[in-house]
Amino acid sequence: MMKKTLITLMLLGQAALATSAFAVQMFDFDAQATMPAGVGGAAAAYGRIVNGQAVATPIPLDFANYEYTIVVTGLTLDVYGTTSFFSGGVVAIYQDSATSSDWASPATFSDGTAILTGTLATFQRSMFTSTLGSGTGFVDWTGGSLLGQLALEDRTGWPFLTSVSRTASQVQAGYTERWDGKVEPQQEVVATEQLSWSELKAGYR
Amino acid sequence: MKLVKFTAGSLLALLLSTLSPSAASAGIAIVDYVGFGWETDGLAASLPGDVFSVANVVTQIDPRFGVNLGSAEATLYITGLTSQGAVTDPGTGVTTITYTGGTLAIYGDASRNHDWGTNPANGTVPSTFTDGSLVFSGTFTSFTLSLLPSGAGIYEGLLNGTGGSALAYPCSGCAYTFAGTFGAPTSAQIPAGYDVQVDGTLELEGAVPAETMNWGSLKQLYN
Repeated sequence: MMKKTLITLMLLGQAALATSAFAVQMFDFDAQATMPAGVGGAAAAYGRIVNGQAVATPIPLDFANYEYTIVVTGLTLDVYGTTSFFSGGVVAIYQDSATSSDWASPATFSDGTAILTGTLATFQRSMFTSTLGSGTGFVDWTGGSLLGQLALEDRTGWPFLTSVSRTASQVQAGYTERWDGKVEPQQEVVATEQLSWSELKAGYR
Repeated sequence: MKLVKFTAGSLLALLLSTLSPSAASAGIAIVDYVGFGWETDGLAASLPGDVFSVANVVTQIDPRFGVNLGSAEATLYITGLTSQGAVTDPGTGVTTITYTGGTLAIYGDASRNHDWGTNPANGTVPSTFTDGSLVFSGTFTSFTLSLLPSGAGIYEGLLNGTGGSALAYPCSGCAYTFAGTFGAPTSAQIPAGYDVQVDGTLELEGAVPAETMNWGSLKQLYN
């Protein structure tokens, strides 16, 4: 009877911890984007992942030895307006130790190893002033060398959120706007831990 | 091969042209931050007198602020913004909230202890976002937040610089902050008790000290 009570209390304790703890995880990026001239054209964005040690990433990244970049291509403008609608985007996050990314050379953002690749199927960008706006969409991860670190149920529906600035001081030559944003899971991604039955049982003794 | 002989003047001009940063960084020191904001009684029904605050961690910072993110964290805390009430444009659906008052402060802190927790203010907010050494402080002269029913939004504010180790002298209208804001309908991660996730920048113009460099260090750049 006492053992049952103890297990119940432990489970309740774990449930309480699960609801009170909140781990913020994201791929925080600083990007420059090009917008198409009109409907049917495609937008693209080239950015650096800038978490460093400030904010946790959903999967472990080695910022001390690698640069991480994010590239969005093929984001087709379907409807143009104060809120514009896009579709068909492709997203990739690269890990590279060989060359530093340089917005003057977009190819420097897509070299190295693609650790996560996926789709940005829909994206909408709302401009609140002539220079300031924000954009939202969802990413589904489908490939890349580190895809296996995400459980199947953790691979889809990641919000892609970005502020948008067309202010001259924020935009690099050759680009139309700066995207300062992130891709993040909707819930904390937890690393898988292998346990034998005896180890699992031992946790409740 | 014809060798070019540099005079002191041409060398200075060359140095200036080489060191001259692009428009994106000329004279403007930029801070990049992410965080979460909340308003007393909730942002969805912002009422006159409600107070908006934002607790942020810095992911990129201009070296002139003197915080090395490799060995310390920088936090940016906005508070004291008093709502003048929400106004919704029935045509666009955009809700605009204008605020008065408010301050912004950046701290450098080797302890890396920032913790948003839940239901702010709490045991770690603002305390873990306002510890360490004060790098910059400013007072808002304007602040406006705009929101769409989709959950997407922005805010922007203009500040006077008032203090902190990175500020060479008090300045009027020298700082500006802008952020995208993302509410629950966007599916953004938002800890319980916060209203929006934010991702933004602070620009400080002219009032940060120039980076000092001796001749030896300068010559090293051209060896």
